[in-house]
Amino acid sequence: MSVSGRTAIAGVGATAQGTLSGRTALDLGAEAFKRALADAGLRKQDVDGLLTMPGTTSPEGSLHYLRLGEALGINPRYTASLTMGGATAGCLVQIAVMVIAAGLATTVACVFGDTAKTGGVTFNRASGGDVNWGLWGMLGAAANSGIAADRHMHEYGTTSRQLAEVAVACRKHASMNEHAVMRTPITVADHQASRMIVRPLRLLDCCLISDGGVCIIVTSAERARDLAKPPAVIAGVGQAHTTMNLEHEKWWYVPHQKQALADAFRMAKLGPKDVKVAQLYDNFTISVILWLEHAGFCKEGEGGPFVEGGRIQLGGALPVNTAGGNLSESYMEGWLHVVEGVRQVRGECGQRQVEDAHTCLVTGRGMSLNCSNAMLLQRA
Amino acid sequence: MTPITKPAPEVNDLTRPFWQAAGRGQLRMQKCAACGHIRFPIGPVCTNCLDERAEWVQLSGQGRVLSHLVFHRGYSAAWKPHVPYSVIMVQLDEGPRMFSDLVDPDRKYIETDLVGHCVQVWFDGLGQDMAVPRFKVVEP
Repeated sequence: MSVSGRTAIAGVGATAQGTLSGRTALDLGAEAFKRALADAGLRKQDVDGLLTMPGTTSPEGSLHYLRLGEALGINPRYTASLTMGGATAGCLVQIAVMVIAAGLATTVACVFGDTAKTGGVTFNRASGGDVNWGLWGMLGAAANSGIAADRHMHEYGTTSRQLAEVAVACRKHASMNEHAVMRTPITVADHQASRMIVRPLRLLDCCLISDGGVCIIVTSAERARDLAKPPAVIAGVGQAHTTMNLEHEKWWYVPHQKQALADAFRMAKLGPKDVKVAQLYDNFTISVILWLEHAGFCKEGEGGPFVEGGRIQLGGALPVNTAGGNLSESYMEGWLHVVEGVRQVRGECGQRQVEDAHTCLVTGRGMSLNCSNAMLLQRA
Repeated sequence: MTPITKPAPEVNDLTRPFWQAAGRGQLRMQKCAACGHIRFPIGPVCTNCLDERAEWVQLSGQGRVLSHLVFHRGYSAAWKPHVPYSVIMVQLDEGPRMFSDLVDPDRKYIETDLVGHCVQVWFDGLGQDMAVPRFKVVEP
């Protein structure tokens, strides 16, 4: 039985973002939860499901659901924590959809808080298990996305200037978002002049590192209609993962993303032409180009030319990351992509509102290139 | 006999044959006794057929560069002194792929794009009980 249209995001909440000295992952999560409750017009007692993502600075790790639940004074019918990096937000929303459809809870809060910026987190882990790639200097988040960019450049002729177009679009959108961390507009030349981090990726190809908290409340579409804000109906969801890296011939291309997107489109009975605005997970600029190809907005290998000419900027054919994304709004590991998707379909984005944004695609990717998901949100 | 110049591997029973072979100047990987698949990373069962039986077969140590990164930032204390340094994804002739830093002490290839170039394994710590396979460019 399809879950298309059966649930909706009824409330979203985000704290201030950026460098938040003195704050903790726990209190940022709690603040975001309160903000989302207020947004939805719900009371704490209405929430009977709690799904969480431990921040990089959450000492509880996989027991985060217990500590956050205790801090909020909640005894949920359903609870869990998930650690899937930038894929966590989308995957938790999908768990919420399933839990509600199965009748295990009626109203599920998904919560994240982190102080990665003030905590000095550098995202310097290496992939690999018993034989860790760090042994060969293959360390940090930029490494695997660097492979993706380098291979894409060699196979399809994609250029660093095309990667720059993604950074420029995100920054332009962030300049129109008073809550964004990086708001000064940049040019392709600024990107080209920024220092190399891991060739071929420059500083302005990389996402930020941020403090902040985000909460997303999911409930049945029926119930959402009676709440404070117009519901963002979850029309389609999909996720796909690969656990294989070196043994996966085209691992760097993240081909499983195609499956996640195809499943979401099929469930929603929609296609790329129906999408008016997209929030595409952007840990690095190359990721947006891959999503555009995998979603079918352009053909394989044509993501570079696609992002040229302002096509993914507001006013272009497909505005992407309209709040600024991980690259410029704040690095909430994709949680704010869901928030912006909700706000776009509600029509509450002010000067950065996309006209007639009845359908928004939101994607997430985490654990380097391994985990991916897609979600289609629609105005009720 | 020279000691390993960069971080030393964490060795366990599963991975020990890989590092010990490198100490003897050999690149060896697990070949499934049931289906013949050569796997890397090292694992307890064949990723193709799940058979546990495997032979550590010697590979030629030759391959081609699939991707070439240059790290201008050091993400660990051990690698900070080495920046900028190259990391390559190697397609080995026998099928498996692996990452390696490039053995390039004079930083000759930092500005070069090595994709498609032939590389050959080199053993860091050769003659010791264990060594680390790394790769260097095969000069034309």
